[in-house]
Amino acid sequence: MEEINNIQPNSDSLVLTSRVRLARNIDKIVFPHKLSDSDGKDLVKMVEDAFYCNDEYSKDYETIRLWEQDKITQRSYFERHLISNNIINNSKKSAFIYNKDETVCLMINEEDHLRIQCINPGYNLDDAFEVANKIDDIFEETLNFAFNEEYGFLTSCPTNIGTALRASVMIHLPVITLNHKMQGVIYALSQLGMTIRGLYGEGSKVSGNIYQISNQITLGITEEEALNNLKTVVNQIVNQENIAREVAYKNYKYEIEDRVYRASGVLKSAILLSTQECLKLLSDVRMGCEMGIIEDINIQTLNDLLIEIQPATIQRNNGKIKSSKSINLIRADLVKNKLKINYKNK
Amino acid sequence: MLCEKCKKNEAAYHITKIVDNSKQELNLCEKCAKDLGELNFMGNLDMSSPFSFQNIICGIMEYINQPNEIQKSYELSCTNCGTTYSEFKKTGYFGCSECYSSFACDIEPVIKRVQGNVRHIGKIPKRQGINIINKNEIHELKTKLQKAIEREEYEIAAEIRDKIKKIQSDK
Repeated sequence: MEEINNIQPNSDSLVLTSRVRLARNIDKIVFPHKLSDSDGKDLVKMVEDAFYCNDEYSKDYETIRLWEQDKITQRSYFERHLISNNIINNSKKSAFIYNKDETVCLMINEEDHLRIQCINPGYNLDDAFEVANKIDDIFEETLNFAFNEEYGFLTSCPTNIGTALRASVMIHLPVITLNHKMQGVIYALSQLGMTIRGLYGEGSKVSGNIYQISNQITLGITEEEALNNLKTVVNQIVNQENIAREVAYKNYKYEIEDRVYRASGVLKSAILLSTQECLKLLSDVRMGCEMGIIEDINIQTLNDLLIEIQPATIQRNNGKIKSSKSINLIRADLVKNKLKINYKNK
Repeated sequence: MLCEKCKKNEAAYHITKIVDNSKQELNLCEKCAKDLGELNFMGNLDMSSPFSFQNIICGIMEYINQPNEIQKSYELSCTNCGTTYSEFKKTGYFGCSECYSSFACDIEPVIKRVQGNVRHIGKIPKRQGINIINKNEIHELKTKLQKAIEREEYEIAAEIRDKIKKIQSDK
Protein backbone atom coordinates (compact mmCIF):
# COMPACT_ATOMS: atom_id res chain seq x y z
CA MET A 1 0.00 0.00 0.00
CA GLU A 2 1.86 2.94 -1.27
CA GLU A 3 0.19 5.67 0.67
CA ILE A 4 1.41 4.13 3.88
CA ASN A 5 4.82 3.66 2.30
CA ASN A 6 5.24 7.34 1.90
CA ILE A 7 5.00 8.19 5.56
CA GLN A 8 8.21 9.76 6.66
CA PRO A 9 9.46 8.40 9.95
CA ASN A 10 8.37 10.90 12.52
CA SER A 11 8.53 10.23 16.20
CA ASP A 12 6.10 13.05 16.93
CA SER A 13 3.25 11.48 15.09
CA LEU A 14 1.54 8.27 16.10
CA VAL A 15 -1.00 8.62 13.32
CA LEU A 16 -0.52 6.10 10.53
CA THR A 17 -3.16 7.32 8.10
CA SER A 18 -5.96 9.87 7.83
CA ARG A 19 -9.14 8.97 6.01
CA VAL A 20 -12.20 10.88 4.86
CA ARG A 21 -15.24 9.40 3.20
CA LEU A 22 -18.41 10.94 1.81
CA ALA A 23 -21.55 8.88 1.26
CA ARG A 24 -23.77 9.77 -1.71
CA ASN A 25 -26.87 8.22 -3.22
CA ILE A 26 -28.66 8.71 -6.49
CA ASP A 27 -32.05 10.33 -6.02
CA LYS A 28 -35.04 7.95 -6.07
CA ILE A 29 -33.06 4.82 -6.98
CA VAL A 30 -33.40 2.13 -4.32
CA PHE A 31 -30.38 1.75 -2.02
CA PRO A 32 -27.86 -1.04 -2.75
CA HIS A 33 -29.36 -3.59 -0.35
CA LYS A 34 -32.60 -3.39 -2.37
CA LEU A 35 -30.99 -3.35 -5.82
CA SER A 36 -31.11 -6.49 -7.94
CA ASP A 37 -27.74 -7.73 -9.20
CA SER A 38 -28.42 -6.49 -12.72
CA ASP A 39 -29.70 -3.08 -11.59
CA GLY A 40 -26.66 -2.88 -9.33
CA LYS A 41 -24.38 -3.44 -12.29
CA ASP A 42 -26.26 -0.76 -14.24
CA LEU A 43 -25.64 1.64 -11.38
CA VAL A 44 -21.93 0.80 -11.42
CA LYS A 45 -21.93 1.75 -15.11
CA MET A 46 -23.77 4.98 -14.38
CA VAL A 47 -21.27 6.04 -11.71
CA GLU A 48 -18.34 5.04 -13.93
CA ASP A 49 -19.71 7.14 -16.80
CA ALA A 50 -20.13 10.13 -14.50
CA PHE A 51 -16.54 9.80 -13.31
CA TYR A 52 -14.65 8.88 -16.46
CA CYS A 53 -16.31 11.65 -18.50
CA ASN A 54 -13.89 13.95 -16.70
CA ASP A 55 -10.84 12.83 -18.71
CA GLU A 56 -8.37 15.02 -17.00
CA TYR A 57 -9.17 13.93 -13.49
CA SER A 58 -9.86 10.26 -14.08
CA LYS A 59 -6.87 9.28 -16.22
CA ASP A 60 -4.97 7.48 -13.46
CA TYR A 61 -7.98 5.56 -12.22
CA GLU A 62 -9.10 2.01 -12.78
CA THR A 63 -12.32 0.13 -12.03
CA ILE A 64 -12.32 -3.23 -10.26
CA ARG A 65 -15.64 -5.06 -10.54
CA LEU A 66 -15.93 -7.31 -7.53
CA TRP A 67 -18.08 -9.88 -9.33
CA GLU A 68 -15.09 -10.56 -11.58
CA GLN A 69 -12.73 -11.23 -8.64
CA ASP A 70 -12.25 -14.34 -6.56
CA LYS A 71 -12.72 -14.30 -2.78
CA ILE A 72 -9.02 -14.11 -1.90
CA THR A 73 -8.43 -11.17 -4.21
CA GLN A 74 -11.48 -9.38 -2.79
CA ARG A 75 -10.15 -10.00 0.70
CA SER A 76 -6.70 -8.68 -0.17
CA TYR A 77 -8.22 -5.37 -1.32
CA PHE A 78 -9.91 -5.20 2.05
CA GLU A 79 -6.64 -5.88 3.87
CA ARG A 80 -5.08 -2.99 1.97
CA HIS A 81 -7.78 -0.73 3.50
CA LEU A 82 -9.05 0.04 0.01
CA ILE A 83 -12.52 -1.39 0.46
CA SER A 84 -14.85 -2.35 3.29
CA ASN A 85 -16.45 -5.58 4.38
CA ASN A 86 -19.87 -4.29 3.32
CA ILE A 87 -18.90 -3.93 -0.31
CA ILE A 88 -17.56 -7.51 -0.34
CA ASN A 89 -20.92 -8.72 0.97
CA ASN A 90 -22.49 -7.04 -2.07
CA SER A 91 -19.85 -8.41 -4.44
CA LYS A 92 -22.40 -9.61 -7.03
CA LYS A 93 -23.25 -6.00 -7.84
CA SER A 94 -20.45 -3.85 -6.40
CA ALA A 95 -17.28 -2.30 -7.78
CA PHE A 96 -14.69 0.27 -6.90
CA ILE A 97 -12.66 2.83 -8.79
CA TYR A 98 -9.22 3.59 -7.42
CA ASN A 99 -6.07 5.46 -8.34
CA LYS A 100 -2.57 4.05 -8.73
CA ASP A 101 -1.20 5.23 -5.43
CA GLU A 102 -4.31 3.93 -3.67
CA THR A 103 -5.09 7.21 -1.96
CA VAL A 104 -8.55 7.48 -3.54
CA CYS A 105 -11.15 4.74 -3.69
CA LEU A 106 -14.69 5.24 -4.95
CA MET A 107 -16.83 2.39 -3.72
CA ILE A 108 -20.00 1.68 -5.67
CA ASN A 109 -22.88 -0.22 -4.06
CA GLU A 110 -21.45 -0.47 -0.62
CA GLU A 111 -24.05 0.49 1.99
CA ASP A 112 -24.74 3.55 -0.17
CA HIS A 113 -24.58 3.92 -3.94
CA LEU A 114 -21.34 5.82 -3.81
CA ARG A 115 -18.72 6.24 -1.15
CA ILE A 116 -15.88 8.59 -1.94
CA GLN A 117 -12.92 7.64 0.20
CA CYS A 118 -9.54 9.36 0.44
CA ILE A 119 -6.72 8.04 2.55
CA ASN A 120 -3.62 10.08 3.21
CA PRO A 121 -0.44 8.89 4.87
CA GLY A 122 0.28 10.39 8.26
CA TYR A 123 -1.83 12.98 9.98
CA ASN A 124 -3.45 14.93 7.19
CA LEU A 125 -7.24 15.08 7.31
CA ASP A 126 -7.61 18.42 5.53
CA ASP A 127 -5.98 17.32 2.30
CA ALA A 128 -7.97 14.10 2.32
CA PHE A 129 -11.17 16.10 2.68
CA GLU A 130 -10.20 18.51 -0.06
CA VAL A 131 -9.70 15.68 -2.54
CA ALA A 132 -12.96 13.96 -1.54
CA ASN A 133 -14.84 17.24 -1.83
CA LYS A 134 -13.43 17.90 -5.31
CA ILE A 135 -14.46 14.42 -6.51
CA ASP A 136 -17.91 14.98 -5.02
CA ASP A 137 -18.22 18.14 -7.13
CA ILE A 138 -17.22 16.24 -10.26
CA PHE A 139 -19.93 13.64 -9.66
CA GLU A 140 -22.50 16.26 -8.82
CA GLU A 141 -22.10 17.85 -12.24
CA THR A 142 -23.87 14.90 -13.83
CA LEU A 143 -25.48 12.77 -11.11
CA ASN A 144 -28.60 13.71 -9.19
CA PHE A 145 -27.81 13.07 -5.58
CA ALA A 146 -30.40 12.40 -2.90
CA PHE A 147 -30.34 15.63 -0.93
CA ASN A 148 -32.83 17.64 1.03
CA GLU A 149 -32.49 20.93 2.76
CA GLU A 150 -33.36 19.67 6.21
CA TYR A 151 -31.49 16.35 6.34
CA GLY A 152 -28.67 17.12 3.91
CA PHE A 153 -27.36 14.13 1.95
CA LEU A 154 -29.69 11.17 2.37
CA THR A 155 -28.12 7.82 3.12
CA SER A 156 -29.41 4.31 3.49
CA CYS A 157 -28.76 4.38 7.22
CA PRO A 158 -29.90 7.52 9.08
CA THR A 159 -26.71 7.54 11.15
CA ASN A 160 -24.94 9.06 8.14
CA ILE A 161 -27.35 11.77 6.93
CA GLY A 162 -26.35 15.42 6.84
CA THR A 163 -22.80 15.86 5.68
CA ALA A 164 -22.54 12.06 5.24
CA LEU A 165 -18.90 12.58 6.13
CA ARG A 166 -16.92 10.16 8.16
CA ALA A 167 -13.37 11.16 9.00
CA SER A 168 -11.01 8.83 10.78
CA VAL A 169 -7.41 8.38 11.76
CA MET A 170 -5.48 5.19 12.38
CA ILE A 171 -3.46 5.62 15.51
CA HIS A 172 -0.96 3.53 17.47
CA LEU A 173 -1.56 3.62 21.24
CA PRO A 174 0.50 0.89 22.92
CA VAL A 175 1.15 2.51 26.29
CA ILE A 176 -2.39 3.79 26.89
CA THR A 177 -3.51 0.25 26.11
CA LEU A 178 -0.86 -1.26 28.38
CA ASN A 179 -1.99 1.01 31.23
CA HIS A 180 -5.60 -0.14 30.80
CA LYS A 181 -6.60 3.43 30.06
CA MET A 182 -8.42 2.70 26.80
CA GLN A 183 -11.76 2.34 28.62
CA GLY A 184 -11.47 5.97 29.68
CA VAL A 185 -10.59 7.04 26.16
CA ILE A 186 -13.55 5.12 24.72
CA TYR A 187 -15.90 6.70 27.26
CA ALA A 188 -14.60 10.22 26.66
CA LEU A 189 -14.86 9.79 22.89
CA SER A 190 -18.46 8.61 23.05
CA GLN A 191 -19.32 11.70 25.10
CA LEU A 192 -17.90 13.85 22.31
CA GLY A 193 -19.78 12.16 19.51
CA MET A 194 -16.78 10.16 18.33
CA THR A 195 -16.17 6.48 18.15
CA ILE A 196 -13.19 4.16 18.29
CA ARG A 197 -12.75 0.87 16.50
CA GLY A 198 -10.18 -1.73 15.57
CA LEU A 199 -7.61 -1.76 12.77
CA TYR A 200 -10.19 -2.66 10.13
CA GLY A 201 -12.98 -0.31 11.16
CA GLU A 202 -16.53 -1.21 12.06
CA GLY A 203 -16.89 -4.58 13.73
CA SER A 204 -13.18 -5.35 13.70
CA LYS A 205 -11.07 -6.43 16.62
CA VAL A 206 -8.29 -4.34 17.97
CA SER A 207 -4.98 -5.81 17.04
CA GLY A 208 -1.47 -4.51 17.27
CA ASN A 209 -2.62 -1.61 19.49
CA ILE A 210 -3.82 0.22 16.41
CA TYR A 211 -7.15 1.97 16.64
CA GLN A 212 -9.41 3.88 14.31
CA ILE A 213 -10.96 7.02 15.76
CA SER A 214 -13.80 8.66 13.83
CA ASN A 215 -16.62 11.16 14.11
CA GLN A 216 -20.11 9.87 14.72
CA ILE A 217 -22.36 12.92 14.37
CA THR A 218 -23.08 14.01 10.80
CA LEU A 219 -26.20 16.17 11.05
CA GLY A 220 -26.29 19.76 12.28
CA ILE A 221 -22.54 20.10 11.97
CA THR A 222 -20.46 21.40 9.08
CA GLU A 223 -17.71 19.38 7.44
CA GLU A 224 -15.06 21.72 8.85
CA GLU A 225 -16.45 21.44 12.38
CA ALA A 226 -16.46 17.66 12.20
CA LEU A 227 -12.84 17.62 11.03
CA ASN A 228 -11.75 20.13 13.63
CA ASN A 229 -13.46 18.23 16.45
CA LEU A 230 -11.72 15.06 15.41
CA LYS A 231 -8.36 16.79 15.17
CA THR A 232 -8.74 18.30 18.63
CA VAL A 233 -9.54 14.92 20.12
CA VAL A 234 -6.74 13.14 18.28
CA ASN A 235 -4.22 15.77 19.40
CA GLN A 236 -5.20 15.19 22.98
CA ILE A 237 -4.96 11.44 22.70
CA VAL A 238 -1.54 11.70 21.03
CA ASN A 239 -0.49 13.93 23.88
CA GLN A 240 -1.74 11.46 26.48
CA GLU A 241 0.07 8.59 24.81
CA ASN A 242 3.31 10.58 24.65
CA ILE A 243 3.09 11.53 28.31
CA ALA A 244 2.33 7.94 29.26
CA ARG A 245 5.35 6.81 27.24
CA GLU A 246 7.63 9.29 28.92
CA VAL A 247 6.51 8.25 32.37
CA ALA A 248 6.76 4.58 31.50
CA TYR A 249 10.26 4.99 30.08
CA LYS A 250 11.43 6.93 33.11
CA ASN A 251 10.23 4.25 35.52
CA TYR A 252 10.62 1.08 33.49
CA LYS A 253 13.43 1.81 31.07
CA TYR A 254 14.84 -1.74 30.98
CA GLU A 255 11.45 -3.41 30.88
CA ILE A 256 10.42 -1.37 27.86
CA GLU A 257 13.73 -1.85 26.08
CA ASP A 258 13.54 -5.56 26.84
CA ARG A 259 10.07 -5.75 25.33
CA VAL A 260 11.07 -3.88 22.19
CA TYR A 261 14.26 -5.87 21.56
CA ARG A 262 12.59 -9.19 22.31
CA ALA A 263 9.88 -8.39 19.79
CA SER A 264 12.46 -7.45 17.19
CA GLY A 265 14.42 -10.61 18.00
CA VAL A 266 11.42 -12.87 17.56
CA LEU A 267 10.38 -11.18 14.32
CA LYS A 268 13.89 -11.63 12.93
CA SER A 269 14.19 -15.31 13.83
CA ALA A 270 10.78 -16.97 14.17
CA ILE A 271 9.93 -19.85 11.84
CA LEU A 272 6.14 -19.66 12.30
CA LEU A 273 4.16 -16.48 12.97
CA SER A 274 0.40 -16.12 13.35
CA THR A 275 -1.26 -12.85 12.28
CA GLN A 276 -2.13 -11.88 15.83
CA GLU A 277 1.31 -12.59 17.26
CA CYS A 278 2.94 -10.79 14.39
CA LEU A 279 0.76 -7.70 14.83
CA LYS A 280 1.49 -7.64 18.53
CA LEU A 281 5.24 -7.86 17.98
CA LEU A 282 5.13 -5.29 15.21
CA SER A 283 3.42 -2.94 17.67
CA ASP A 284 6.24 -3.43 20.20
CA VAL A 285 8.86 -2.77 17.54
CA ARG A 286 6.91 0.23 16.24
CA MET A 287 6.83 1.64 19.75
CA GLY A 288 10.60 1.15 19.91
CA CYS A 289 11.03 3.07 16.65
CA GLU A 290 8.66 5.84 17.65
CA MET A 291 10.48 6.26 20.95
CA GLY A 292 13.88 6.18 19.32
CA ILE A 293 14.92 3.01 21.17
CA ILE A 294 15.74 1.13 17.99
CA GLU A 295 17.05 2.83 14.94
CA ASP A 296 17.83 -0.07 12.63
CA ILE A 297 14.21 -0.50 11.51
CA ASN A 298 12.24 2.26 9.88
CA ILE A 299 8.55 2.98 10.26
CA GLN A 300 7.93 2.61 6.53
CA THR A 301 9.04 -1.01 6.65
CA LEU A 302 6.65 -1.60 9.54
CA ASN A 303 3.80 0.05 7.64
CA ASP A 304 4.42 -2.20 4.64
CA LEU A 305 4.46 -5.23 6.87
CA LEU A 306 1.12 -4.36 8.50
CA ILE A 307 -0.51 -5.14 5.17
CA GLU A 308 1.86 -7.73 3.72
CA ILE A 309 1.43 -10.08 6.68
CA GLN A 310 -2.37 -10.19 6.37
CA PRO A 311 -3.60 -13.68 5.44
CA ALA A 312 -5.38 -13.02 2.14
CA THR A 313 -2.52 -10.82 0.93
CA ILE A 314 -0.07 -13.65 1.63
CA GLN A 315 -2.36 -16.15 -0.08
CA ARG A 316 -2.75 -13.93 -3.10
CA ASN A 317 0.99 -13.34 -3.44
CA ASN A 318 1.88 -17.01 -3.00
CA GLY A 319 -0.23 -18.97 -5.43
CA LYS A 320 -3.31 -19.01 -3.21
CA ILE A 321 -2.03 -21.52 -0.67
CA LYS A 322 -4.63 -22.70 1.77
CA SER A 323 -3.34 -24.13 5.06
CA SER A 324 -2.86 -21.70 7.89
CA LYS A 325 0.39 -23.43 8.79
CA SER A 326 1.96 -22.63 5.45
CA ILE A 327 0.65 -19.08 5.71
CA ASN A 328 2.36 -18.78 9.10
CA LEU A 329 5.56 -20.17 7.63
CA ILE A 330 5.55 -17.71 4.74
CA ARG A 331 4.64 -14.86 7.07
CA ALA A 332 7.63 -15.53 9.33
CA ASP A 333 9.94 -15.74 6.34
CA LEU A 334 8.57 -12.54 4.85
CA VAL A 335 9.00 -10.59 8.08
CA LYS A 336 12.49 -11.96 8.64
CA ASN A 337 13.68 -11.02 5.16
CA LYS A 338 12.14 -7.60 5.25
CA LEU A 339 13.67 -6.73 8.62
CA LYS A 340 17.07 -8.21 7.76
CA ILE A 341 17.36 -6.47 4.42
CA ASN A 342 16.48 -3.35 6.25
CA TYR A 343 19.23 -4.04 8.73
CA LYS A 344 21.86 -4.56 6.07
CA ASN A 345 21.00 -1.31 4.37
CA LYS A 346 21.84 0.64 7.46
CA MET B 1 -27.57 -26.70 35.89
CA LEU B 2 -28.28 -24.29 38.73
CA CYS B 3 -26.04 -21.43 39.76
CA GLU B 4 -23.56 -22.56 42.38
CA LYS B 5 -23.86 -19.38 44.40
CA CYS B 6 -27.54 -18.49 44.66
CA LYS B 7 -28.76 -21.99 43.74
CA LYS B 8 -31.90 -20.39 42.30
CA ASN B 9 -31.27 -19.36 38.72
CA GLU B 10 -30.05 -21.37 35.78
CA ALA B 11 -26.26 -21.10 35.45
CA ALA B 12 -25.52 -19.14 32.31
CA TYR B 13 -21.77 -18.65 32.74
CA HIS B 14 -19.24 -21.41 33.06
CA ILE B 15 -15.98 -19.94 34.17
CA THR B 16 -12.69 -21.76 34.32
CA LYS B 17 -9.94 -20.05 36.25
CA ILE B 18 -6.38 -21.11 36.68
CA VAL B 19 -4.98 -19.76 39.90
CA ASP B 20 -1.47 -20.79 40.94
CA ASN B 21 -1.60 -23.75 38.57
CA SER B 22 -4.77 -25.18 40.08
CA LYS B 23 -7.89 -25.29 37.98
CA GLN B 24 -11.09 -23.89 39.42
CA GLU B 25 -14.49 -24.16 37.77
CA LEU B 26 -17.48 -21.96 38.48
CA ASN B 27 -21.02 -22.23 37.19
CA LEU B 28 -22.92 -19.04 37.82
CA CYS B 29 -26.08 -17.25 36.78
CA GLU B 30 -25.70 -13.87 35.14
CA LYS B 31 -26.48 -11.88 38.30
CA CYS B 32 -24.01 -13.74 40.54
CA ALA B 33 -21.33 -13.65 37.87
CA LYS B 34 -21.67 -9.89 37.65
CA ASP B 35 -21.74 -9.52 41.42
CA LEU B 36 -18.60 -11.56 41.80
CA GLY B 37 -16.91 -9.53 39.11
CA GLU B 38 -16.11 -12.65 37.12
CA LEU B 39 -17.28 -11.07 33.92
CA ASN B 40 -14.90 -8.55 32.59
CA PHE B 41 -16.87 -7.50 29.56
CA MET B 42 -14.44 -5.03 28.13
CA GLY B 43 -11.39 -6.86 29.41
CA ASN B 44 -9.83 -7.66 26.08
CA LEU B 45 -11.29 -4.67 24.26
CA ASP B 46 -13.04 -6.74 21.70
CA MET B 47 -14.55 -4.23 19.30
CA SER B 48 -16.57 -6.82 17.45
CA SER B 49 -19.49 -6.43 19.83
CA PRO B 50 -22.99 -7.14 18.59
CA PHE B 51 -24.00 -3.56 19.32
CA SER B 52 -23.90 -2.17 15.82
CA PHE B 53 -25.53 1.18 15.17
CA GLN B 54 -28.33 -0.56 13.33
CA ASN B 55 -29.13 -2.57 16.44
CA ILE B 56 -29.10 0.53 18.56
CA ILE B 57 -31.31 2.48 16.17
CA CYS B 58 -33.78 -0.38 16.07
CA GLY B 59 -33.85 -0.29 19.85
CA ILE B 60 -34.47 3.45 19.88
CA MET B 61 -37.26 3.14 17.33
CA GLU B 62 -38.98 0.44 19.34
CA TYR B 63 -38.81 2.71 22.33
CA ILE B 64 -40.00 5.90 20.65
CA ASN B 65 -42.77 4.46 18.56
CA GLN B 66 -44.40 2.28 21.15
CA PRO B 67 -47.38 4.51 22.02
CA ASN B 68 -48.38 5.26 18.42
CA GLU B 69 -48.34 1.70 17.38
CA ILE B 70 -51.57 0.75 19.08
CA GLN B 71 -53.47 3.34 17.07
CA LYS B 72 -51.78 2.45 13.82
CA SER B 73 -53.58 -0.42 12.20
CA TYR B 74 -52.40 0.16 8.66
CA GLU B 75 -48.86 -0.36 7.43
CA LEU B 76 -46.96 2.69 6.21
CA SER B 77 -44.94 2.09 3.06
CA CYS B 78 -42.76 4.19 0.77
CA THR B 79 -44.48 5.35 -2.42
CA ASN B 80 -41.27 5.10 -4.44
CA CYS B 81 -39.73 1.77 -3.42
CA GLY B 82 -42.40 0.00 -1.39
CA THR B 83 -40.25 -0.41 1.71
CA THR B 84 -42.52 -0.71 4.74
CA TYR B 85 -41.92 1.10 7.98
CA SER B 86 -41.66 -2.14 9.89
CA GLU B 87 -38.97 -3.25 7.45
CA PHE B 88 -36.98 -0.12 8.28
CA LYS B 89 -37.55 -0.70 11.97
CA LYS B 90 -36.21 -4.21 11.63
CA THR B 91 -33.08 -3.47 9.63
CA GLY B 92 -32.31 0.19 10.40
CA TYR B 93 -31.92 0.82 6.67
CA PHE B 94 -34.16 2.83 4.38
CA GLY B 95 -35.06 1.54 0.92
CA CYS B 96 -34.48 4.73 -1.08
CA SER B 97 -34.11 8.47 -0.70
CA GLU B 98 -37.91 8.94 -0.89
CA CYS B 99 -38.36 6.90 2.29
CA TYR B 100 -37.23 9.99 4.19
CA SER B 101 -40.35 11.88 3.06
CA SER B 102 -42.65 8.85 3.15
CA PHE B 103 -41.89 8.22 6.81
CA ALA B 104 -41.18 11.86 7.67
CA CYS B 105 -43.35 12.09 10.80
CA ASP B 106 -42.10 8.86 12.31
CA ILE B 107 -38.42 9.28 11.70
CA GLU B 108 -37.95 12.78 13.02
CA PRO B 109 -37.74 11.73 16.68
CA VAL B 110 -35.50 8.82 15.70
CA ILE B 111 -33.10 11.10 13.87
CA LYS B 112 -33.12 13.49 16.78
CA ARG B 113 -32.07 10.68 19.08
CA VAL B 114 -29.37 9.39 16.80
CA GLN B 115 -27.95 12.67 15.58
CA GLY B 116 -28.90 15.29 18.13
CA ASN B 117 -29.40 18.28 15.85
CA VAL B 118 -32.05 17.93 13.22
CA ARG B 119 -30.98 20.38 10.55
CA HIS B 120 -28.27 20.05 7.97
CA ILE B 121 -25.77 22.91 7.98
CA GLY B 122 -22.99 21.34 5.92
CA LYS B 123 -22.25 21.27 2.20
CA ILE B 124 -24.99 21.98 -0.31
CA PRO B 125 -24.49 20.52 -3.79
CA LYS B 126 -23.52 23.30 -6.20
CA ARG B 127 -25.76 22.41 -9.13
CA GLN B 128 -28.78 20.71 -7.55
CA GLY B 129 -28.80 22.92 -4.50
CA ILE B 130 -28.51 26.25 -6.32
CA ASN B 131 -31.98 27.36 -5.17
CA ILE B 132 -31.17 26.56 -1.56
CA ILE B 133 -27.84 28.35 -1.81
CA ASN B 134 -29.55 31.43 -3.30
CA LYS B 135 -32.30 31.34 -0.72
CA ASN B 136 -29.78 31.21 2.12
CA GLU B 137 -27.80 34.03 0.60
CA ILE B 138 -30.89 36.22 0.20
CA HIS B 139 -31.85 35.48 3.77
CA GLU B 140 -28.39 36.50 4.95
CA LEU B 141 -28.44 39.67 2.83
CA LYS B 142 -31.87 40.64 4.10
CA THR B 143 -30.62 40.43 7.68
CA LYS B 144 -27.69 42.65 6.71
CA LEU B 145 -30.05 45.03 4.95
CA GLN B 146 -32.22 45.33 8.04
CA LYS B 147 -29.18 46.14 10.17
CA ALA B 148 -27.90 48.71 7.69
CA ILE B 149 -31.27 50.45 7.70
CA GLU B 150 -31.33 50.46 11.50
CA ARG B 151 -27.92 52.12 11.50
CA GLU B 152 -29.17 54.55 8.83
CA GLU B 153 -26.39 53.51 6.47
CA TYR B 154 -28.53 53.96 3.38
CA GLU B 155 -25.72 53.72 0.83
CA ILE B 156 -24.74 50.29 2.11
CA ALA B 157 -28.40 49.33 2.28
CA ALA B 158 -28.88 50.24 -1.37
CA GLU B 159 -25.89 48.09 -2.36
CA ILE B 160 -27.29 45.13 -0.47
CA ARG B 161 -30.72 45.68 -2.04
CA ASP B 162 -29.17 45.56 -5.51
CA LYS B 163 -27.35 42.33 -4.66
CA ILE B 164 -30.63 40.74 -3.55
CA LYS B 165 -32.32 41.90 -6.77
CA LYS B 166 -29.52 40.43 -8.83
CA ILE B 167 -29.79 36.99 -7.21
CA GLN B 168 -33.56 37.05 -7.59
CA SER B 169 -33.37 37.95 -11.26
CA ASP B 170 -30.73 35.28 -11.97
CA LYS B 171 -33.07 32.52 -10.88
